[in-house]
Amino acid sequence: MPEDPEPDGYRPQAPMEPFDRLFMAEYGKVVAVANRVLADRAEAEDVAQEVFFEFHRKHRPDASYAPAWLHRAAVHTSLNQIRGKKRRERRELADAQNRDQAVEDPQTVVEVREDRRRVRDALTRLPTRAAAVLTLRYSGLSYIEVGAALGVGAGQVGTLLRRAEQALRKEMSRATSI
Amino acid sequence: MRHLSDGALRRLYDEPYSLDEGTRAHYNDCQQCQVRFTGVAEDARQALGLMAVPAATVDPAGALARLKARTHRGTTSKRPRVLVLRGGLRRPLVGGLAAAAVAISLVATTALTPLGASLVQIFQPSRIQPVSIEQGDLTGLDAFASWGDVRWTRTPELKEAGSAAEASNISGLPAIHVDTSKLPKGLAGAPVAYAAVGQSSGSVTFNGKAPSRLSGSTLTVVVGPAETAVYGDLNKLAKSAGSSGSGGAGAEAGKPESSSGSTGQAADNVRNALAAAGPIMAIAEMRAPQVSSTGASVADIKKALLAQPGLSPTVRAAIKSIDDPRGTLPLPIPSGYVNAHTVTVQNVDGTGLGDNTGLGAAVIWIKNGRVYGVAGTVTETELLAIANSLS
Repeated sequence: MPEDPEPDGYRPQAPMEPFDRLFMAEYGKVVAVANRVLADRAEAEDVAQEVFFEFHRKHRPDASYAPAWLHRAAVHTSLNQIRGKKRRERRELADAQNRDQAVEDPQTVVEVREDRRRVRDALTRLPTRAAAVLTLRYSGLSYIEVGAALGVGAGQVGTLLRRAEQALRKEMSRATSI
Repeated sequence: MRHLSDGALRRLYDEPYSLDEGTRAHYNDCQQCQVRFTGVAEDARQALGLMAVPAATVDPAGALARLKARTHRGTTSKRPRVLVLRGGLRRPLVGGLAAAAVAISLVATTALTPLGASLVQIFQPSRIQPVSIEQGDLTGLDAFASWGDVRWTRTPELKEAGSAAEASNISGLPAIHVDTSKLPKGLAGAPVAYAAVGQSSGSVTFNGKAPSRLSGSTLTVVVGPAETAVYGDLNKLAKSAGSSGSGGAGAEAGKPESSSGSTGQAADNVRNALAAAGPIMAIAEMRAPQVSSTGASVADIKKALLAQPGLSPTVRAAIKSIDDPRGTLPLPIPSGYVNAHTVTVQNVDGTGLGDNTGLGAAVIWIKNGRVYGVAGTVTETELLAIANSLS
């Protein structure tokens, strides 16, 4: 029989640096926000890297506004990205060339892809604040977090969200009827 | 009192306890506000469907390492494309490289292992046996971790789906079909979230520290695909979980956090979060996991594990109960927290998990090569009714 292995895995961990703590706490949310707009994990992670890189260069990691800044930057960077026509076309081409899982019904895949494209297009036509409140809220941020990112009180988020949802529904209806 | 604004009604949908008592009391007595709420809630549900995207699972530690490497270089290069074989690869080039890498590694594995040989399926469970374990029961298995490193050859990836049919298309499993007349009270008409997880696999090649009968063999475990349907308001659950946890409302209000981190406190937090969220029920279906080997058999592995000193009688009995090739899968259950017992579901033996802490219940069974589970903050009787109604 082999001898007992060296004990491992029980060493106390060194305390994390403030930036590391911020990153570990917020990275998932920042990717979720970007992914909600881009519907592409790889692109969402690229956006998250850009956002944290910019924050790291310009701000203190223990700044009280750090999470709000990151969330806002994530949504704006992502919206800017889908507003770039060339990038959108490239992504759609890549989408069309991929999703090659044999188990998926091609018709369903096409419909889901088309629905997501229509929603992304609708988001680009909405006022930025409406698109932002939808993205932030449906990425799982609380009203307090959404309000902080948008620079409004949590009490106003419901109003903004309600209007944004109505606007999104109108945009989707308009796009369908065209 | 004035009627609730649209914004207040919208927040009531997401965060009902954020509104003050007076506002909630008005809402409870005001039919006009309740009718308006129905419209607001419908728009919210529609928007939720529109905004749904495949979930992004991330590795924050890896991402932080990439960012640090980048800041040290002072460049603006982006995330390297990691070769991970997963469903729905976006880029044909990366997908091709990943497929090639996996093919090469498979060829290398089969060609270079001492037993040289074909991968033989050695185990696929056909029933589940709950095993009640104490905290120290697994101590004797510590050595197992040093016998080889587990390597993911295909990582699991969760994808949200808009319907049971879409989840079925992603997973390749039959769609989860629920008889809605059997839904527990409180879940009829509740929002349903669907998701699917593609197949994942991992392997371990036993090294020189492993017993000689295992050394050099590679075990491969294939898990999934799987699909789930979750009934209930997940937004409310996420919110209430945030409020009940240490980083939630208490922390925001500057209240000191408990330093003990006791299990009882954690259980209270979970219980409070679940109670505030209302009923939640999850149904899951997964292809039964399969274990393949290039050499070592189930009997070899059992013999090696049973030779480890310090195994508790419970764990020893559980290991002995594993029989190949389509045998029993022991399901470790924390002793004292969960009451596990045998139930009959879909005409086969299953396991009922009644939770003594009052958090909820679960029913798990295997049928036709698939593992099924129904769990939620409802009674076991209600879960069994749903489980038996699945078709």
